[in-house]
Amino acid sequence: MKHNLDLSSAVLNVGFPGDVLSSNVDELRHSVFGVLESPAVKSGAWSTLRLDLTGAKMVDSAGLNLIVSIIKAVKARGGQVRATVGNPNVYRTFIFTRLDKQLDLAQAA
Amino acid sequence: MILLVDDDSISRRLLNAFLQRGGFEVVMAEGVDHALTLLESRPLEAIDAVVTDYRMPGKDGLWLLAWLQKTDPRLSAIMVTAEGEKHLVTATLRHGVCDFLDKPVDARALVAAAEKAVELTRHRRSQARAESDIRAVGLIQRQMVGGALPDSGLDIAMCYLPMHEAGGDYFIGMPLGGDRFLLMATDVSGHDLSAAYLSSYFQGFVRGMLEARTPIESVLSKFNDHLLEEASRSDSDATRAQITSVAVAAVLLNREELGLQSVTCGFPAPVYSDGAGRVQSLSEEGSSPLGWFPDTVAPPLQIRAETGSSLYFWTDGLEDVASEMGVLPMTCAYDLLRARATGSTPLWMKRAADDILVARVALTPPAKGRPEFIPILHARYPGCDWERIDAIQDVWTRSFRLALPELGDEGSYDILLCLREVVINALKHGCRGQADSCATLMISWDSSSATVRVIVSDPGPGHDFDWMEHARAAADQLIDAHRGLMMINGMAARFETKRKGAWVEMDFNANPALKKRAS
Repeated sequence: MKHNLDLSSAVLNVGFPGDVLSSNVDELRHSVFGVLESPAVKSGAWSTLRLDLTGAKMVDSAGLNLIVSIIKAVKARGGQVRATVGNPNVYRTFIFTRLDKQLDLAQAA
Repeated sequence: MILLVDDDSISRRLLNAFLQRGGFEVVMAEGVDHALTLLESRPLEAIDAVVTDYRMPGKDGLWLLAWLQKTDPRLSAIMVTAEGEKHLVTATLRHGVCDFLDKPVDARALVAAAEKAVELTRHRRSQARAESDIRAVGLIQRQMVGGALPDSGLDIAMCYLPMHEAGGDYFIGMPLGGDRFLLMATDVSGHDLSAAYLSSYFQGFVRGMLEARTPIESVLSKFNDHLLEEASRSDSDATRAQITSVAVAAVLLNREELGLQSVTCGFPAPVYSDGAGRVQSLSEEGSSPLGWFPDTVAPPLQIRAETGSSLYFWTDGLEDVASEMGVLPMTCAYDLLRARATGSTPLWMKRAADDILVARVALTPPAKGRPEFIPILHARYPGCDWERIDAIQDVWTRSFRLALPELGDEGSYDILLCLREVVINALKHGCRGQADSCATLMISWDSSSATVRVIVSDPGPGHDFDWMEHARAAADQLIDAHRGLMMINGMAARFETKRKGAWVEMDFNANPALKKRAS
C-alpha cells in the first residue's frame, strides 16, 4: 500500500493497490489502521485523509465496511475523508451504498 | 492366391515353381498390362499378395506398385530386383511394398517373404472390415441416440459429438406404456464394439424390466449384480483387471402427474430446471457406476415437475472440457445446445478429448405469457469454499463470458458483485463454513426480457433480523455491516428473500441502458 506520511501537510494520502475484497480486507485493514493508529500520524496536523482507490476494479461489502471504519476513525478526530475511484462500477457501488453522503467522492478522469 | 508378374518366362516359371512348392496358388502375368487384364476378370480381393519384377518392358514394377497402392492399399507386394537396383528400395517402400528380393531369388527366401506378405494383407483386410463394422455400428448408434418419442409432447434437443467411431455413450427416451417414459443417459466403459453392444443390451434390459413395472432401483441393482457375477466368473487375472462398468442416469417420468424418479450411478447427475429460475441437481451425492461394487444403487430421488420445466443430461466428457476451460458444465451445456440450434459447433469443442453428449428434455411446453428461464450457471459449494471465493468468482466470470458474451464484463459486474455477497453469506452463515453443508447457485437467463435471474440457497435457518430494515440502518447510521444488502438493493432489478434469507433471488436486467442509474 502507498502512504504519504508528510505529517506537516493537511492531507494524508492512503492508496489501495487494487481490489478491496473479503479475501484481502483483513490485510488491508491491518495496514491502514497500522498507519492511522501510529503515534506520529495520530498527533499529525492532517485534517483530510485522501483514499486513492483508482486501482480498484471491485470493492465488495467487506471492502466497503473497511472504508466505513476508516471514515469513522477520521471523523472521530474531526477530520474528513476524500476518496478517488477510477472504475465507474466502483463509483456506482459507493453511490448505491450512500457512502457518497459520508465522504467526498470523486471519479478519476 | 499370389499374382506373379515377370516378363522373363524362365524366371517366371522358376518363381512359380518355388511358390507352388511353398503351398501357394499362383496366377502368372507376362507384364504389367497382362496383370491388369487378368485382374479385370477376378476381384482384387482374391489376390493375397503380388510378386513383381522391377525391370519390364512398358510399365515397370514401380508403376504396378503405385497402381496397387492406389487401388487396394491393403494388398502387400514383393519386388524382385537385380544387382545395381538397390536405389529402388526407397521408392518401393514409398509405394507400400512389404519386402524386396535380390536376383537370383532363393526359394526359401521367396516362400518366407510370400508368407509374410499374405499374412500382412489378411491382417490389413480384417482390420479394415472391423473398422467398417465399427463405423456401421456407430452410425446406427448415432441414428438411435435421442430416441423418438412420437406424440409424447416431449421436446428433446440433443447434441452428440463422438470422438470415436462407436462407443458406450448414449441418451434415449423410451415410452413405457401409458404416460410413463424413461429418459436415460448411459456411458459404458470402452469405445469399441463390445461397449456399443453392452450399451444396447443394457437399454433393452432396462426397458423390458421397466415395462414389466419393476422399480427402477431394482432394475439397476439387478444389472449391477449381473456385471459383478460376470466379473467374478472369470478365472483370468487379465480379464479381471478389465472391469466392465456402466454409468447411468435414469429418470422415470409420469407425464400425467409430472412425477419424476431419478437414479444416478456414476454418471453426472441430471439437472432439473423449473423454467422460473429454480435449478436442482437430481443427485447430490457422488455414486459409483454399475459393475464396481455391490449395493451401489440408491433409492430414487422423487420430485414433482412444474409446467415449463426441463431436464438436462450430459456425459463426463463435457465436465472434463468445462473443467479445462475453467467454466461450469451447465454453461458448456447451454452454449452447446444454443450452437446446435443454429447448426454450428462451438470452437471450444476442439479441446474435447472424450465423447460429448448433451440433451435437454422439455417436459411440458412453457406456460403461455410466462418468461422461460434457461439455466446457464449451476453449482453447489461446500461451506468451507468461502475461503476461495476469488477463484470461484473467476469461474463465474468466465462462465458469463461464454454464456452471455453480449453482456461483456461491464454488464456482468453488478451480477458478479451481488452474487459474491450472497454466496459468501450462504457459505459462512448458512453453511457455517462447514465442508458437509452446501449452498446451491442457480443462474438462469430469459432472452425475451433480457433478464438474468440469480438464486442462491443454503440449508441454514436464515437470519433473525429484517434484512431490509438493516439495509436502511446501515445507510443512515454509518454502521460497518449490511452494506452488501444496500448494494444488492441498488443494483438488482428485483431482490427477494425467503426462509429468512436462506433463499435469495435477484433479477438483473442485462440491457445496460435499463440499468438503474446511480442518479
